[in-house]
Amino acid sequence: MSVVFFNSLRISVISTAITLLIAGVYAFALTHSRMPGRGFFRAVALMPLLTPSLLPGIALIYLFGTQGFFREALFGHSLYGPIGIVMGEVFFTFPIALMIVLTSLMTIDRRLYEAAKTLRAGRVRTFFTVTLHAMRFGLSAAFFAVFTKVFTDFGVPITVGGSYPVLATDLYQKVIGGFDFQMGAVVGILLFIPAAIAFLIGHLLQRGHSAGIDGSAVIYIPEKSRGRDIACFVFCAAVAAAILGILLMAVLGSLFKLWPYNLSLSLASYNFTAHESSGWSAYGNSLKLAGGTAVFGTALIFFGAYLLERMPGAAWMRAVIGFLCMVPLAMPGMVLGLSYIFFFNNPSNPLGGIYGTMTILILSTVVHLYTVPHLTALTSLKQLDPGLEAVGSSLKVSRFVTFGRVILPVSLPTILRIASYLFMNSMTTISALVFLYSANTKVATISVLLLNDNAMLGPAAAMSVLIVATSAAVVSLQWLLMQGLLRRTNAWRGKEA
Amino acid sequence: MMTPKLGNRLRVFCAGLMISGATIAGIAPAQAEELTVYGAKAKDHFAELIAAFQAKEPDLKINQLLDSNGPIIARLLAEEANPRADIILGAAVPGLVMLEERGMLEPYAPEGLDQIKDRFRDRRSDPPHWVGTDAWASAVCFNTAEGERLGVPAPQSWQDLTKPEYKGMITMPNPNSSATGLLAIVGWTEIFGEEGAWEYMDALHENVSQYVHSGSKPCRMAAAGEAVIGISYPAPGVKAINNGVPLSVIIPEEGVGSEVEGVAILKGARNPDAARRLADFAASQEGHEIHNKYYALVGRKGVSNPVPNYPEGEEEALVDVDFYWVAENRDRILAEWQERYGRKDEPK
Amino acid sequence: MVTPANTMDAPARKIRVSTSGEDLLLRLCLIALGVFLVVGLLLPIYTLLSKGVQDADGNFVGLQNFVT
Repeated sequence: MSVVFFNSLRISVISTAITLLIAGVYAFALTHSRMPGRGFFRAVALMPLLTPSLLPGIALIYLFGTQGFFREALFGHSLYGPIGIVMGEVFFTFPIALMIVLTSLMTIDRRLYEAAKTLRAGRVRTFFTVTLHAMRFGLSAAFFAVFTKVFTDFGVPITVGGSYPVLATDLYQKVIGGFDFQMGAVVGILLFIPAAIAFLIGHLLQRGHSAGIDGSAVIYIPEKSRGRDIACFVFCAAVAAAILGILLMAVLGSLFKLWPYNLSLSLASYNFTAHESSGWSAYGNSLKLAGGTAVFGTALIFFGAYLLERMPGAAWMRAVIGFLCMVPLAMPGMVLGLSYIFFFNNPSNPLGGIYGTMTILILSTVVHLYTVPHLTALTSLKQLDPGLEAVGSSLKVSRFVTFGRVILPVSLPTILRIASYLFMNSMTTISALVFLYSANTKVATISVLLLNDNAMLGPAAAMSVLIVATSAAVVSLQWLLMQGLLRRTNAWRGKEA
Repeated sequence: MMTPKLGNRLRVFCAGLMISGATIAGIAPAQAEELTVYGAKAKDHFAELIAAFQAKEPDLKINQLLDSNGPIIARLLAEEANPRADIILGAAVPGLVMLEERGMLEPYAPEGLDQIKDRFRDRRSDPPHWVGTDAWASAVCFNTAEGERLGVPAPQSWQDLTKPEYKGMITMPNPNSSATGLLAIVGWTEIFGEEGAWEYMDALHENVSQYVHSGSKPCRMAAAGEAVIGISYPAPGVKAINNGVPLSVIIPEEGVGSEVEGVAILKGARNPDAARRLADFAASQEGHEIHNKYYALVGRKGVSNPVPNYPEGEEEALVDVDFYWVAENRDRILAEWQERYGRKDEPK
Repeated sequence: MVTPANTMDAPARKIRVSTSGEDLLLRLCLIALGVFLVVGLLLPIYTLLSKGVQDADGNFVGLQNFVT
């Protein structure tokens, strides 16, 4: 047991360190250089968010597995095991780290640099005292966010973990393989505690930091430096190439007829009905899940945030519920799924009827993904003038009308962002669902898992590509809608929302 | 003083509607007739059977759950108080025997039972609790291209596999999750005696790179070159060979254990009629022709179509296995196996 | 939250901007949200934690399960 725990710990620390290093330099390059293509690099960096965590594992098998195209690059070591896991996790958590660090770098006041220059501080000194100092909070917050993600991730270790056990896969084996619920609960708790601790620390850090943002800060514009720009460009190009490489490998892998002996291209892997008794229904189920979560989740979360933020009275109740809304972020998906089996599959539970249906999948996913959209909604609602309800009341109009006619339309971009976040994450999530799916509610990510289980790499890659494509389509749709909307409904703000 | 409510009222109403709608959709019984099938067959075999049955019953909604033998049996045991499956289409007989001893199976004599070979039916009761559809033996899948690249010859016997030259090249199913894995072990118990079998496995363990979750995976991994040798059973290997993969399927000299998989209806099934129809289909000539595509040994007399590239001598090499002994000793053997070799397990 | 602009009033008073009927409805909605979170989050977690400190037959064994 302790072996597994320390494996997870080790992997998480190593992987997080590497990710932070790469993300840190990448973020620096994006904000503190004048290299060309920054927009492009930024977009590419966010792409792993669209993928289920199974995808990097599968792509890595094609690249560095026993028959992989670049297997020599590992100098004789096997991909399966810690090496593969770390590689997959770095890919998967890179955007998360980047976004956090980027935020901290972007808010550096230019005047600090000017002051440093006036005081004749050298470039290196300035870097350490200004840049790195500001990154401090970002890096620490990113450390805990990434650590939690890696520690609790299931998709990467299950595809490339080989015989190296980690908590997530151990939990799966105990519950699914042996139906040992007892030990399953124990492993689940072991998974939960570090995640909860990391979450708490990260949360406290973020709170401390946000006090430091000064509204009158001036954004930093880097001075010219050819050498630095070239170095940054090369670095970012390498990282972007790695990310795109993994994505493309997955696509390519799905097109091989019979890897590794027949590399002719064909769409045979996409013919799911031939490989899988449920055929395309898994994909259909994913769409149902994602759609249901997006619709139900957005309504619930946004209205919930509204209640918490803008309702008068009931202060302690709002505080308690507000706290509860944060808890899901500390819960690893697998632990949530496991606890749902215990709670809902109990014959004495009146709600037990939902076990095995799409409802429980949607419910668990909404709870699992609750916190981030909740915070987004809160932030957005805080920015609205507190007097709105008062105005509505003085016009003798009900609160609900105020909500419907003023608050909703103005918050539309936020609502869209939340819906798209929920949709995207539901398409790619697997951890909570591995324990809750049943014969007719198998979703695409589970299908990928089962296909990989049977060493049917091509169809697994194909289904993963399908998932990514769907997420990408929805995100693009959301982005387009946003552009149009922002212009119309947010003109009153005067600046970018 | 409520002026016309727009926006939010609608939203709340819609949200409420959705919640109730989703809940109702989840709980209410479906209109169409439904059949829930659990299976532990090979993926393509299962898919073909279901497709053929569905063609005969276009109005029947078939819910299916396919996994390896261990998890399916475990799931059924966990659902004992409230069974969700109607019928088990393909599970290894020792597992079925275990379920039968707990009183979870409904006896049923499918049409054409008289055509089924003795070995392939529950001999302890009439009507039988289960009927066998096909049988297979252990076999070794060997990737000839990899073998050449790494300079190792094809193994001819079980003992060969313990040779040091094969270190790190072998994969095998974990018997806790896969019937094929258990089958191999049971075979060795018959061949080497129980003490000898553990000694053999100790030696084999040195050469194993991974224990995997599903029975066909070792062979598929060998077919994909991810492993050189897979201890599995012939069907996936034969399929790979017919697809042009440089693989050979070897029946080791000492003999091989065999396993029968069968069909059984669950007591307390929600749709016993449709379950019986599926059982009939599985036992019928048509059903057996499908089984025969994947296995040389099938339950029905007179169905035997040679599958191209199927290894010779499978039937002769079969070592006699007593299912009831296996069912009795299964838990003990599995626990000991996990104790000794559980660490190299693929995390599944 | 709306706070009175006039600071000479008792500082903690909030202006109620809705009728009491609406107020009740809002509170009900808040409670509903609370119930949702309790049922969907707290109760399952509690069940998990209690399972973790029990043995296979449901007897309480404290931290024994974690001792490996």
